[in-house]
Amino acid sequence: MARNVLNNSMGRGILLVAFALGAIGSIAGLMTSERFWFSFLQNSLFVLTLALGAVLFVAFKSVSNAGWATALRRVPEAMMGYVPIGGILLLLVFFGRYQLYPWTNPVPSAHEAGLQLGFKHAWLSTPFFFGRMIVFLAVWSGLIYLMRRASFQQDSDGDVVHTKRRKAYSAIFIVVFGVTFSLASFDWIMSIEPMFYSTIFGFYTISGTLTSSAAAITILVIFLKKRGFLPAVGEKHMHALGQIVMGFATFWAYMWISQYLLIYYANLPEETIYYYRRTSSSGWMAVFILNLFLNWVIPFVMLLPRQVKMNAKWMVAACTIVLAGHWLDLYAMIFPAFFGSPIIGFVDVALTIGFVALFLLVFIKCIGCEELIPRNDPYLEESVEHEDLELVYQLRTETAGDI
Amino acid sequence: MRATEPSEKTVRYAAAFFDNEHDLMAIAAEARLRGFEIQDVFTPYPIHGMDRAVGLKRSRLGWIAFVAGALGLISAILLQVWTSAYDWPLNVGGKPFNSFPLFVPVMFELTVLFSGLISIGVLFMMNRLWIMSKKKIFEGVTDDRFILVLKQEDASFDTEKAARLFKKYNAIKVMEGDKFV
Repeated sequence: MARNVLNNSMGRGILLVAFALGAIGSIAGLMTSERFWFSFLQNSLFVLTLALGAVLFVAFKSVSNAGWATALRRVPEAMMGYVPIGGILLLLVFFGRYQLYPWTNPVPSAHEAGLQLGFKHAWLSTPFFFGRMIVFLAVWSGLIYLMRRASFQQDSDGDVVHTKRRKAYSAIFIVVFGVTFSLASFDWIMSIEPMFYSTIFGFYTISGTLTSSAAAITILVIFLKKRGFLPAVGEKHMHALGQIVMGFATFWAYMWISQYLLIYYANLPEETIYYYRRTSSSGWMAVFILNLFLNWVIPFVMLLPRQVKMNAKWMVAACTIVLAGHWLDLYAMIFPAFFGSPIIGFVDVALTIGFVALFLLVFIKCIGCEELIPRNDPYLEESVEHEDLELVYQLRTETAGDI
Repeated sequence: MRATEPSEKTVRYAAAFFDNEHDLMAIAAEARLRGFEIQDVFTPYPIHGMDRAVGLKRSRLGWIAFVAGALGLISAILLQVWTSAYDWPLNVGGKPFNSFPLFVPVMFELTVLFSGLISIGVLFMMNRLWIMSKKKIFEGVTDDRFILVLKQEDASFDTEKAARLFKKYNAIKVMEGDKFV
């Protein structure tokens, strides 16, 4: 039932047009703008991290035996479907490697000659770099496929073994992801400035990923709930999602200050150059401060009262701010290496619209393919409010009717 | 959960014991519906949704935690600015005396510490759990008993109706008294 309504809605048409416009704009940008590949990397990571954060969300819930999110689990599970597509798009960075990554240039400048020494030179070689990228994306996509399959199979046969399998896959994913995503963010983002290094960088990007994907899940849940698709989602779910967004935003701030403080303390030239580039010009300084406000100060203060977390409008506002903050965070990680002042041009707008539209199209496609409530999940009763239990029993008795 | 009023000697209570949380949850909702006034419920562990079933008002403890946290934050700033920039300035690694980033960890820690300690202290005070205070508790309440206490405040309290209600939800034991704790 969900399939028809979601796919025939006008929203899908608008998204297709937006994607087409974004794609055309991006091709135009590729011809004309030197900023294209930077913006491509930023926006492609922006939506890819939303999808990866959704996998972590599901994995955390499943490993910790948390029942509350079961009624809305299909939303992050549909977001997960973007990872393989986003991964293939990210591989296109191969064609922009000479602009993005200074270490790919055959003749290193005197400044980067230090790279010739030791381990970094071997690590940052083009075949190894893109080989790693393919392996990481393939492993994530494989585990996502297994997690999704186990979840959907349970809808039809109701076997508890799928819950146990999902838990095992989730545990593997969390361990694998912690290591691989850390390395991936060193590769994809940190190596734009190959002389700089920060060991906490991976966890910093993971914290941003968790915050922004929780915000995206919240917005999508509110959107679907408003259209009547998630009848079993109630106030308690909204409250919990609000707590998660606020908690992870604070975790992001913790990671941010941890990275900043150590570099500030030690005052080593190869490390401080990273913050020097981001604070020395007034334009980048404004981005630097705005980043802190969008990602932590504003959402934290906004989400402190309990009533706000249960209010759909306030939550959408807070989550939009968090998403804008994550976009700006990636912008401030990628651009200052080569651009003296922050400019948001045509190419940025086109790529952002294109990628977000593509993400939402894939989301609609994925969520339309399956039941919106995992009706045979043993945790479903625990997840719904007492007064919605009838609904669960109804769903369970409907059995094979609409498959 | 709620403070008792030891001065009101005339108020009587009826306490019913149950052996599971579902019965307690259900009877709490029905008792409220039928016009009984619930004094309190006692359970061995926190139960989700119990506050709603009993009709508890929103706790004021959140505000106290907020004020205490703000107090911690302010004292952390004052402490560090005073000690490292005014009272005894020390040059550490060439940093300015008033280096704000270095103050952040202590600001965070004192906010959490103040907010945690003061909230727990106020919680104990609000519940009249002073040091050395003696409270009698219901037998089995820390183990496997779930207890509902009804207030018998006025003449409208229907003892028979209450007894029927207790029986409907399989109360194991019913106690009545002037002071329930």
